[in-house]
Amino acid sequence: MNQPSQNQPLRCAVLSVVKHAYVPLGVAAHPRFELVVVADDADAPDWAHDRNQLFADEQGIPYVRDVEQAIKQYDVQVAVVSSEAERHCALTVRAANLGLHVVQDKPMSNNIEQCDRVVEACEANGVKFLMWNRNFLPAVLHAREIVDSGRIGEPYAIHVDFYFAKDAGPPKGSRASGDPPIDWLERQLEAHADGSDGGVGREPMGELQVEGIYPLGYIRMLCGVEVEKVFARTTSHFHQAHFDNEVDDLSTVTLQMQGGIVGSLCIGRIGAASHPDIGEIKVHLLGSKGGLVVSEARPEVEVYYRSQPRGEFRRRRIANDNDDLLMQNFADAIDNDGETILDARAGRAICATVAAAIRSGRTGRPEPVNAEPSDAYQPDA
Amino acid sequence: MLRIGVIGTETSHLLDAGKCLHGVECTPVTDAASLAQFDALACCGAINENTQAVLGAAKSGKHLLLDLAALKSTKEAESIITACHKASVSYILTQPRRFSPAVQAIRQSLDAGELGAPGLLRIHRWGCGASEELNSRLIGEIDLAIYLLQGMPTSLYAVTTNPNEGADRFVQVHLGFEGGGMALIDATTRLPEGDDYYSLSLLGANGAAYADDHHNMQLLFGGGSAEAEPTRQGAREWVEPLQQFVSAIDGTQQVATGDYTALAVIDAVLQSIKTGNAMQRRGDSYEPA
Repeated sequence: MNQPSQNQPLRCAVLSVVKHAYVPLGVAAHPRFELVVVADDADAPDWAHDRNQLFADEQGIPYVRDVEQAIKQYDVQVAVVSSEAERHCALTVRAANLGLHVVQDKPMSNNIEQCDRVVEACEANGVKFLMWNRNFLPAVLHAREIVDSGRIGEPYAIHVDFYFAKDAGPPKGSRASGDPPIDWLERQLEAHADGSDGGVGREPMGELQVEGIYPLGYIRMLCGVEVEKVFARTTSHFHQAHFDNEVDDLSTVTLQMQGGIVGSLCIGRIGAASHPDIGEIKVHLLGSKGGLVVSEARPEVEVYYRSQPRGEFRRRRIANDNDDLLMQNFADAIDNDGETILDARAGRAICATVAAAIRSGRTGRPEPVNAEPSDAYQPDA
Repeated sequence: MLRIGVIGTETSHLLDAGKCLHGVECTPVTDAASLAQFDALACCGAINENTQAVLGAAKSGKHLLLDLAALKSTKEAESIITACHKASVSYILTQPRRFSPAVQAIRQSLDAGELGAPGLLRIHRWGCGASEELNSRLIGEIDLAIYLLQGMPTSLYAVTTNPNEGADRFVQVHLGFEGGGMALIDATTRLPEGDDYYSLSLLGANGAAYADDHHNMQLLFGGGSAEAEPTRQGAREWVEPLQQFVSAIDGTQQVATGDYTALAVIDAVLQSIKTGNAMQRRGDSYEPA
């Protein structure tokens, strides 16, 4: 694989873009990266081909129904994976084995063994992996700056309340007697219209799996420790689709981390009526010298006008360079053989924490986090 | 004039509330000997004195207004109630947190059906003080969870931080309720001397309520970094309990003497921290899950 010199654009293949296209669009917006082709497997379903083709047309690039051929033909160096979650890892492993660096949409996977394969493939092939995240939001960076300055001392507790005020189909309890359960994939295909289709795929996924990486990413960045044990309660409280498919739309997780640091994650898709904007997302940190409360959405500007559509957010985030900073971080890792802000091992650790939380929600007991990748490639010391 | 002696770590709240009522004079109790001058004793927050002083007050005919947060166990509550019955004095075990303006607004919204079935109650309660004060604050918040989710927790798990670093001044309590409801409370008294911080969110099936100091802060610019001060809400938490107490003493109103079920939960919380086990409710008690 020919590697461009530093500052030359890196050619990117978008491997499936069946959901809200924020990841490939974020990649494309950085001057160092250039989308050159969209690709997917020929046996992908028709709805996937339709969406891939639409995105390719919007970007003015070809769509090829053969992943390996597209990679070879278009001389790409980076893969951008934005398929259904159940195909994330397989596509990433294929790309890594062909020597491509990978930017992957969240979640990493709903299967920990697949995450292990990604870790192994990336390390064996010496390629960089970036799990898409929100760690470079201005409020999160500000929090990190305050923690690093020592103003609150040594952190001993961190809490993230992460409530997305979005609907996910009809409310729980609305299914009439005799009606069939809501089909998960059909519901997710409908949700594409408003961009809330992060759980698209055949396998149902709860909010812990779909969105958990964001708040757990904050916790990793701000405290720098691994989660060792969790206790969780999970439920389908708001949406019929989640109830019918037995996945959570509301979860609470107690996190017990290295060094005795305690944390919590409260996460839910709580319904559009439950907040004036996208949702209430806050980080609370306690340290030996004080505490910090951060509203993740800020800075914001508020806009109101006559006939404003009901669904339009009144508060708009500003000065948000998250996407650009993520891609710069990825470029720096490639150029300098460094680490990305959320690499494969970190993504795997987050997946393991989520898996342990789901297990705990079922058993009603604290559960250890399966920390280490199994049979992963061990680089020389 | 009804003379009420006040003890506890949060006497200023009760003293301020007393100024709002006619015919009531609230004064701090300086020592046991001065108790004789009062008609009644009110305990607000944790009590540093031995509970025997409270029992003694009841036996000597003083009416009692007791903050639930001042008690440490169900057994302690029941011994005080027994003493009050024997002495034929009026008593109320009160939960002032239930009467805070924010909690009352949220409870009204719940009762009106606006929020739907409660799913999650999230509380952050931060302040400064000794470990006894942490316990008293935690009892108040657990009681709030019982009040807002309208039942006893069916399961719980509690943790604290590194035992070498102030573990007795931070607790995180994770509660489960019938029907899938849950509450997560973190409380600390490790903040430096200064303002407390409080945040409560209640997510229901149809809506949500947020009562948050962060939102209610005002800014002060005096050079250097800006300072944030919470907008004052007065002593409203204690006005209603104090009024109920006065009405109970003068017989003008039949008053329910208070719900102390939160004390049974705090016992299980301490067990969970000690053993590392989640606890499940079986009958009237909690056992390892």
